[in-house]
Amino acid sequence: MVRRRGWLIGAALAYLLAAWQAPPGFYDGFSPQRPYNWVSPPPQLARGNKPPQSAIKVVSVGEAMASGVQVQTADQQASLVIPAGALQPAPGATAVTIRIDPVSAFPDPHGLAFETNVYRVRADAQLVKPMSVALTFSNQVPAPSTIYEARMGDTTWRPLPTQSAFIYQLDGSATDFGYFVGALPPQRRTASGSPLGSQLLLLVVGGLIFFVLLAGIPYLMLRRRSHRSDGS
Amino acid sequence: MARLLSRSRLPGLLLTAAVGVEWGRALVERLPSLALPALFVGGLALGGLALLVPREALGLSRRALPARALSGGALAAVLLLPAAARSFVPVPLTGLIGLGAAMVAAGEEIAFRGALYAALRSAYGPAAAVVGSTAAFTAAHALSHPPRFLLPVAGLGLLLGLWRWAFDDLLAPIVGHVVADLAL
Repeated sequence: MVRRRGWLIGAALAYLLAAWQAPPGFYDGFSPQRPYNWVSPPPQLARGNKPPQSAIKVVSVGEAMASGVQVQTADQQASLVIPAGALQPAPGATAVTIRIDPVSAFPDPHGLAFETNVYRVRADAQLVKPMSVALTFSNQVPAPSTIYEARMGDTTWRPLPTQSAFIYQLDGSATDFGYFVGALPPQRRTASGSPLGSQLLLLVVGGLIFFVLLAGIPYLMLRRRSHRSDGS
Repeated sequence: MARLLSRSRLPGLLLTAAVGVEWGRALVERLPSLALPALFVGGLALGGLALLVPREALGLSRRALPARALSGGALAAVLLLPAAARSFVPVPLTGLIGLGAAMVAAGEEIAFRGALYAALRSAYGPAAAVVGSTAAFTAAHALSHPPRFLLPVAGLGLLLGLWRWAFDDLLAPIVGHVVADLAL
């Protein structure tokens, strides 16, 4: 029994270590998502929608150079992590201002399916190293796969290297300020423009698995009982 | 059919069924309007897998019920510790979503640590039962969780699988898993 308890304690420590790497820890994903605040909500989500929030942060040049900067909107829908030394301020500047604003005017999507607000990120300094951009998304719309960026003065949306490190959140790496959005690429949409098509196959496959299993298990049980009674 | 349900083939059947139900549930839940029914159907289907193994092999005997239920609370505390340490603000589940989530959590325990564990132990021994049920549990979450979350899922599977092995008990893992899911 002592040996078994040792294994259990070891497993508990291993779990705690693993869970610490992926905040908040073990998570089965059932929680209702925090309501997403839309600039222009989809019609079915318009009721009760609140406007999304901006963020502004002013830091000293010394702090930006030494520690980096983290900026997050108050509703936690968009955030930046700018590493130390990644900002190059104008000569003579003593502080740097970084802004995140949800915007309604932005470059044409060119077929991309925008599934989050578009956020404009500006700073009065140049970015000389990559920064992290995190965008959360609603669980009431198709999950976006990639963060896209359109640089200031440019009309082209470019995909950023993106990963999903957290439930309902995309994390991308950007080398410049500009407009950012979570989106699905054009080929993931149906000809009618509806994102449902991309979900339909998944639904059919899921439904089939359900059907086969739900019908198959009682069948196997009946056959098993039948075999037992034959044997006895 | 008798051969299909033989001692060596039952683990494969249960593994396929349990992982299949979880993957099917994850796919169906991508359509928000079907998420709630998928929870209920998925939970029932997972729990139903218990019917394929003898009841006494599930670890659900009536001995020391209060102590085992209390142990489930302790397991829940361990599972929630990382979130609590991070001051994570949970959204407790209530109403139908809470009921559905509890059914899935209990169903997962019955399917993976109950039926699949029992079948693997009977066929290949306890080590294979712990490792196999953990691997299947992790694979079952591959469609519903980003890859980074699979490590904590595996950690949870290993911890609860070892609990099942150490105390031949499934009640505490059920209680721990349900409480953790409802709290987060």
